[in-house]
Amino acid sequence: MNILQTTNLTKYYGEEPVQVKALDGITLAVEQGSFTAIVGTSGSGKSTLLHMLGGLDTPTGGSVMVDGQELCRMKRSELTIFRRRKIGFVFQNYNLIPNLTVYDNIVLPVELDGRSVDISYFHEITAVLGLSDKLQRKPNKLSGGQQQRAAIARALITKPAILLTDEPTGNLDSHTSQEVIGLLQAAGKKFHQTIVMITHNDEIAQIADRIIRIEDGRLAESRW
Amino acid sequence: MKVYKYALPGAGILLSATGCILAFTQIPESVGRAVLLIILLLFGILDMGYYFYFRRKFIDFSEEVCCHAERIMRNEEDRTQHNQETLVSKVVMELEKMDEVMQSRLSESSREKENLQKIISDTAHQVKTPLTSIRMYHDMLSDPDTDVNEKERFMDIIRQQLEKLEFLIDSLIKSSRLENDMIRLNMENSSVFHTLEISLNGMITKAERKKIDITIHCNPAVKVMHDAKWTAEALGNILDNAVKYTPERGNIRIDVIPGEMYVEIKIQDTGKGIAAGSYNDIFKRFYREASVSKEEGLGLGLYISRNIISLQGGYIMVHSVPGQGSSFSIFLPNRKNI
Amino acid sequence: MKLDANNNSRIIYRIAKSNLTSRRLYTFFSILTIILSVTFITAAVLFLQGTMTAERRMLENMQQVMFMNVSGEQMEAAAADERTELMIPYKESGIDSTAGSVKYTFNYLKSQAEGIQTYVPVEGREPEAYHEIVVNKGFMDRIGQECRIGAKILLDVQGGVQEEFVICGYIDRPYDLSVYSIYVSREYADTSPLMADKKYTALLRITGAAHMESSGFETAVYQMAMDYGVKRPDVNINGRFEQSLQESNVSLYAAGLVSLFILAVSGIVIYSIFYLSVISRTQQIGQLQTIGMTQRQIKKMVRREGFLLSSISLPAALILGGIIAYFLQPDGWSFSNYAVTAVTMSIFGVLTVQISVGKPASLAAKVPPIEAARNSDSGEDTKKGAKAHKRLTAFVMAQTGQEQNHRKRRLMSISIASGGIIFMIAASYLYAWDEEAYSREGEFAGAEYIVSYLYSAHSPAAYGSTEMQLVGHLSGELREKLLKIPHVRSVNAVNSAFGNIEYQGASWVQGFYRLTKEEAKSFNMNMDGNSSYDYLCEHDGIIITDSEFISGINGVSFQPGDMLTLHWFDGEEHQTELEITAVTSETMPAHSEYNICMTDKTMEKLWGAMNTVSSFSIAAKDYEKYGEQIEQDILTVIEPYPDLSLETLREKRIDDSANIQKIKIQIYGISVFVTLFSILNLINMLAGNIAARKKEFSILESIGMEEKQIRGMLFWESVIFVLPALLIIFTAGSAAGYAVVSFLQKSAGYMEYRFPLIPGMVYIIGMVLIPLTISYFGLKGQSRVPLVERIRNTEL
Repeated sequence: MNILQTTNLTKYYGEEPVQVKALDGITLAVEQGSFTAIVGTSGSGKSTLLHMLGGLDTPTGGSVMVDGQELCRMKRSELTIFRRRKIGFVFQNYNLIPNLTVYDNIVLPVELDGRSVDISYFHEITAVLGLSDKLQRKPNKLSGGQQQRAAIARALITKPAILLTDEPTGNLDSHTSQEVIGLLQAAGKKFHQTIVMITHNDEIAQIADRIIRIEDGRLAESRW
Repeated sequence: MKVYKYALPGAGILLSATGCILAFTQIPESVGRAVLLIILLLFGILDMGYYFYFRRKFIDFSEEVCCHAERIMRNEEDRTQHNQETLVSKVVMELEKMDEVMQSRLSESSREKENLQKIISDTAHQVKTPLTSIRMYHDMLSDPDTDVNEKERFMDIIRQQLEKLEFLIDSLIKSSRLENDMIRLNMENSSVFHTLEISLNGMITKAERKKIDITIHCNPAVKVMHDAKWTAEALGNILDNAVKYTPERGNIRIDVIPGEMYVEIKIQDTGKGIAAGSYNDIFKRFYREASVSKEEGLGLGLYISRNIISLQGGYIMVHSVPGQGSSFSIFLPNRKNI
Repeated sequence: MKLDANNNSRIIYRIAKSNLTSRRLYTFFSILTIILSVTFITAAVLFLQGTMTAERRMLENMQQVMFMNVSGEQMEAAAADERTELMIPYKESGIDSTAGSVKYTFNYLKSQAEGIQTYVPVEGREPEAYHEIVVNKGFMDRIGQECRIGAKILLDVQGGVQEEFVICGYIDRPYDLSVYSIYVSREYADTSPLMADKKYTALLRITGAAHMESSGFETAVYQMAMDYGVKRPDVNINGRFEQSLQESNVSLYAAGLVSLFILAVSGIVIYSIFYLSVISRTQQIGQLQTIGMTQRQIKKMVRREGFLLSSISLPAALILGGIIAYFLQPDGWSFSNYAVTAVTMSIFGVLTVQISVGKPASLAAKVPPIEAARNSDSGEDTKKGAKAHKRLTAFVMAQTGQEQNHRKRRLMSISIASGGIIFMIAASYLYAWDEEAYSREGEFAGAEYIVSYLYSAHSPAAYGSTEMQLVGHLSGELREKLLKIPHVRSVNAVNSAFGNIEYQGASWVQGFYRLTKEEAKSFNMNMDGNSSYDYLCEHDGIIITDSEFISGINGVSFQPGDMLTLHWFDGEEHQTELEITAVTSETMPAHSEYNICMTDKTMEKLWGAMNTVSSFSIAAKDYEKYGEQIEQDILTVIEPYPDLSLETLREKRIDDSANIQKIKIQIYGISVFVTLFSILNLINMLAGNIAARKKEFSILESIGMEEKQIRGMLFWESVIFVLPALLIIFTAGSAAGYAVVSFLQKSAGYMEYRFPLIPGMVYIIGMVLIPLTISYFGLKGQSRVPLVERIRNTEL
């Protein structure tokens, strides 16, 4: 079953003659439970594509279907709740809430839904990510790598059906990167999660089941 | 909780009773009494009313949830409860999520069955070739016209083919066992260096024959939770490949790097390398690159290695520059992982 | 809230709380603003209530009506009546004596603490024996004598005769008086040559009066008077008591209006605070939306912040308001009033905050989640169209920065302007006040001394002061003498004849004011009937002013066209009929103590050549310098004439001073508050602005912009939004101030609009200095953190 599907997805910024074509007619499908890597040079449109898949931005043309639902047809509140329950997003700039502690940041999506945190799972993730002793700190007291790991923990805590990650290892050394990728893959397998990861690192990309290449807003060859 | 169930109506009845008593004792005037009594009675009724109302709501809620659970089992789709800011929506979406995970596990197991079938057919296919060879040469042996020298040669070939068959059956059994988790892994926190030694034992002679230099950088104190025997087997397969595909006077370098979450065992060689596009392919069963078809091998080594390492919660990554060499990194998890 | 709604409220509350605690400065200023406005309103309302309560309490200890010119028997009879709740006898000697420069008079007054508060000796007791007296300690101090029980004192009684008295007790009033009372015993009042033939005044409280309607009370009182043979003109109803029965709510409505206005202004200020706060955290809001916070939850979060701010500010404000009101009006303090006001103010306060927070809350909700991915400070969209390249001076940077956010800028201007307008109104009020003008209201409008015939309503003559006019001490001769006094500028004679009026069954002694043709021309009051001078002369007509007052006292109702009978005396008794040609309820400007006018021609006709002078108004040259001397001289000149008395502006000011004190405190209090309000508002906005743009400044600094240059840019920015604000303040504010003063002038003629120049200048200087100071300290504070950290970390 294809859990993510785009049809002729386009996103333009500005007007002619200074128009920027971030995405130029992208059609792709991602199978449920798979681990897909999206690679491309900077400015190729990878982040924009991910934002579209997560319903954060509206396309200029084409459509995005997630879990059988067309995102543009959904009401804004429904889309937000959909994101809350079904998607875990890891941003390039982490996007942690600066005035909350790391603990609060990680469990935020769970609490926004009025649920109680799965404490054993929480401890598992934070232990693997090496955050157990930093839970009461505020984000501005963490290094870039630690913030990134906190963002990853936040994305995992609700066991969402889809994980959209934008350069999740961008600020990590190669060693930690490997470990984090492994964590994503293992978690994905256990809860049958679909993982889409943007990376510019070919080595990291190998671990995926499938690599999608984007250049200038268009798909290049795709490999299995 | 039983406390809540009785608290509200109980409190209400108590209050009404107290009120009644107070009313009777304090207010002598009969009209005033009657009025107060009526008021208190109303309160009491309201109280009971509230209790029954909320009880009904609870029951309705549980009925709605059961209804949805049954619908999910029938595989019927219903999007009305999706993405709403309600308690029912929350529960229903969680039920559906659980259903998906269950389904995927089910399909996983059916996929495994398929896999098994594939193994059997692959095996049968692979077995056929040496068998045909043996039969042919056996027939030729039985022919009285064959001379002694030829017979000797034929016996050699048959022996070779039998060895091949043995090796094939062995590997197949191993891989199938690994596939079906029939192997009991004996996980122990033991020295990586020791495991390396075991793995090197198998191929050290072959390496020496090709004059390949092997260097090991490993802190003897590094320990990790793993099954020494099986891991050694996995490492051995990789080392085997390294020796096989590295030319004479090449180098093989082994580094053991402990990390926060994993211990990395890096095996680098100066062999012919692997094209980037084939990184995933090489771990597939019976895969052999076209360029190495004349070399010995069944294409099962890396497949088995990956399975062994995966079973232990780790993974293998490869990086290679064709013509210069390859590097295989085996990651074993530090603690009890997911 | 439906039963089925998702239970995710608690996290919103936590995030809201965390938002407030992490932005300390902004929270602090917001709380301060709310506290200030609510405190002001609470204090104002409580003060008004307190004034009313104080009045009520005072009236509870005052007489409700006086029956004048009664005999001892009438008094006792009235006291025994069941309609009388309490009766206190009072008798004046009617004669002022002096001891040096201190005036005093003998009175008999029963000592009473409750009901009708007269006096209670601090030490000692009420006088019983003939020569026992109770004195005022202040009086003893001023005449330089020891105030001791048992001390003997020689006092001038009448016409040079002295008597020895024994002090049996004394009172201590904290303020000076122009004339001190010396309380004598009943025996003295009944038998002494000074007071024996004077009449009593009975001070009465009527049973159940507080619950009567004003007209009902009047009827009851006049009925009682009739029962005991007290003539209608001798019935003196306590005007304040009567007014309290009428329960005019005008002042309460005024307070309500002012409060609403203040609340509205505070609402604007709070709105701008929240608006700025939301604009500066679009990234945070976008982030929250990406992890699943719906628009409704975001609105709730902002509203929760507002609610949390109120819950801290309101209790503090209510307590503060209560304390201030208590100090302004301690007599009027009442806990039940306070409780009701506190509850009402809380509700209004919470409502105001919620309403002001509403729009910014929806604005926050509209932020799209994609903001999370943006890194720059999102202003509004820049104007389209390419701009010619300009040199990037601080001014230009300020300008371009401002264009990006003209909504923000407009908001800041409006909220500062609102505070400033209130400031201008308060300053105008303050400047319009003139203490001297206050005291000069009425007879001292053009003069500082009034020499008049000593006529007292307590010892009435049938024709008023006519007897004394016939003696004629206020003569042309005297006038000459007075003119000769050095530094006297002018001596004006006020002519007024007296007679007895009979009309509609009532009769009373009335003074008539002499109206000249010139004066008649400048009459422009609202009158019923014909008020032209010629008509008056022809028909011997009179004009009734302050008609309601006279009607009330005498129980008549004046109709234009009616005739009334006048008995007068000029050596012989005469009688004639006069026509009431015009009636008005207004009072005559500058001569409000006279209320019926007749033309000079008519007066001449009736009284002929009789000297109708009733008083001399004396004006001084250089009053400040020579006032006291002139006063002494006048006293010397009139000394030979015992039927003349002198009233001075100086004495009136003393009497007025206590009252003025109170009003002054109010004025200063209001001004201080409003100034604080404006300043805090400005500081809040500036500090918030600087804090929100921390990253921008850091980046500018990293590419080489000096702190001084950044300050320059901030200065020009603040000029750009302060300038329009100042314009509005000085135009609308002056207009508003003028309007308020004009409105007040109607009831308080001593107020005159003067443009508050000095406060205005100070305000302008403040508006310039404060931004400079804030940017200086704000930037200094930021520079304590190393540049790298400032740029790296996301805004708080």
